[in-house]
Amino acid sequence: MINLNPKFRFRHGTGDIREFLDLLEKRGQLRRISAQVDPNLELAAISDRVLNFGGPALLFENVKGSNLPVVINLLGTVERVAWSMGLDKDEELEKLGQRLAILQQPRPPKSLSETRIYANLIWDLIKARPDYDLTPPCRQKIYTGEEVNLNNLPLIRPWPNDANGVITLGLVITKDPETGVPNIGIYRLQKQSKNSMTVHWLSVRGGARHLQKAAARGKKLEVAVAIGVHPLLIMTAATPIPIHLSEWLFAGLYAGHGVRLTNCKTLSLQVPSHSEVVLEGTITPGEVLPDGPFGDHMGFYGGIENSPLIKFHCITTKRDPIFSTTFSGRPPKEEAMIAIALNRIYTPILKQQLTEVVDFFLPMEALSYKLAIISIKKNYPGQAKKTAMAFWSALPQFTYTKFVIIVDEFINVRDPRQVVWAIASQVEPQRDLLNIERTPFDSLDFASEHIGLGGRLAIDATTKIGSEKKSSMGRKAHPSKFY
Amino acid sequence: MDRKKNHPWGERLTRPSSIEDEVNKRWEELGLSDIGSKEPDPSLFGYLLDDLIKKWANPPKNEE
Repeated sequence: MINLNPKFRFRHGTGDIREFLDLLEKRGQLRRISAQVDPNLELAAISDRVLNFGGPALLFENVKGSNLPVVINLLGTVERVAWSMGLDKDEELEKLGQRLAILQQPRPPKSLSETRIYANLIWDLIKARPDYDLTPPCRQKIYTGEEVNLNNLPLIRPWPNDANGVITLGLVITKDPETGVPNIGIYRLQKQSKNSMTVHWLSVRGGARHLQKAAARGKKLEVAVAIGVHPLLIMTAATPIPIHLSEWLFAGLYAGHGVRLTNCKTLSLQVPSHSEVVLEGTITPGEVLPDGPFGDHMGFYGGIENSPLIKFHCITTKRDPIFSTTFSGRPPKEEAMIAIALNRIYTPILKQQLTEVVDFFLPMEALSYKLAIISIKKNYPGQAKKTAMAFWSALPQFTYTKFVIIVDEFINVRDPRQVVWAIASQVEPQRDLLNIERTPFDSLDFASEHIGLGGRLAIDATTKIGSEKKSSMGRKAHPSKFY
Repeated sequence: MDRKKNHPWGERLTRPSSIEDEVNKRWEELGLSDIGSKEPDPSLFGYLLDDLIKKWANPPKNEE
């Protein structure tokens, strides 16, 4: 049985994954499974069924072909996502978003109260600085050279036509070759050999940008993969933050205190010292191998794409490491639960950049990014289309939002009945649809005809004003009309 | 460069019935027989977030 009260507790910084498992067990949200389970299809099939019933996180203690136990469905409900962030009230997410908005677009304070807010933020940033650990628990065991063998890890294969075993919940850490600012992302890694994996990252992501810069300098890119970290760090990696801000610092803002880091054994990168497993390797620019197909978040198989190859030369672990994983598929899945929480963080950022925005909503059924409903305080003709175009550029992840529906400020974006009413009553298709063809798009979009290119559609479902309308019909409905 | 995808469009994710049957057969052995007997609470997936927020604000008292 795995000890969930480990010897290595941190005096400060975020706790480790065991601390979170401990919390889940106390709250009846962790189930241990001692029967042997096959990581090839069976483990994901069991987890999927539990997830669909809103069941607990699962700790598989006996996984065929590996000595490592596997934890899955950690963030399988919105409730557990909130717990992972130490959250009692959802408003705290929006407050976090407000601080992020200030960091995104810093400007001089306009009042005494704003000065106080800025001062608090600076103090929080000071407290959020990472701390360093010279005797990290993640380095209790070290494997180098021929000892590096990914076959010893319990890599799951969730769907029958998946290409191979995958790492899905590792923090993939790289460093900007120019500025030295690290990037922490969660990217799917496919096993290619006993010591190599391809990494699947979109070209707009931080890791891909770092590889482009390394290639321009004719240098290899160092990559560390930290597996089995506290889920708070998973949330950090999934949060869109300003490019110039280190995710470690941001994780400290989330946690209220600095993350405890340590230097990698062989690389000039830092990883969370409480990681259960750390893989250390390099990418040689231009060295790629076919990656995929894999089951993806829309509920379909993705394509095969040439992806950068990471060659690992060192693995470090805790004495008795736990492996954490997840998998993609049609919602509900863990990724969808994370997205629901992140939506709350995006709201203040979007409002800062587009001052007319009153509220916005990304429904889970549209993977929390394919379709956005935005309510605006409309002041001039054409503003809805302008808002849609600005939205697509506001944050990198909105680049891949296929449909944007703009409604008046009095429409509740979370109520499909009101949104459908707005579309049906306010939209004249010839006038109010903005259809843009062949724009840069999500290579994971299954409706696109070409990888990386796709159309997008904005629907202006606002009340038409001024020169938008020739007739005098249709006064604005009053908010009290709605429910 | 040809940017067309080289996989069949929209192949839906499914599992072989043999896997599903095996999971059915092992459900009790896995210690999961209490899961799946009733429909999940929609609030677990964020559909009724307000209810969930109230629950977070009042966590179980038996917790340390």
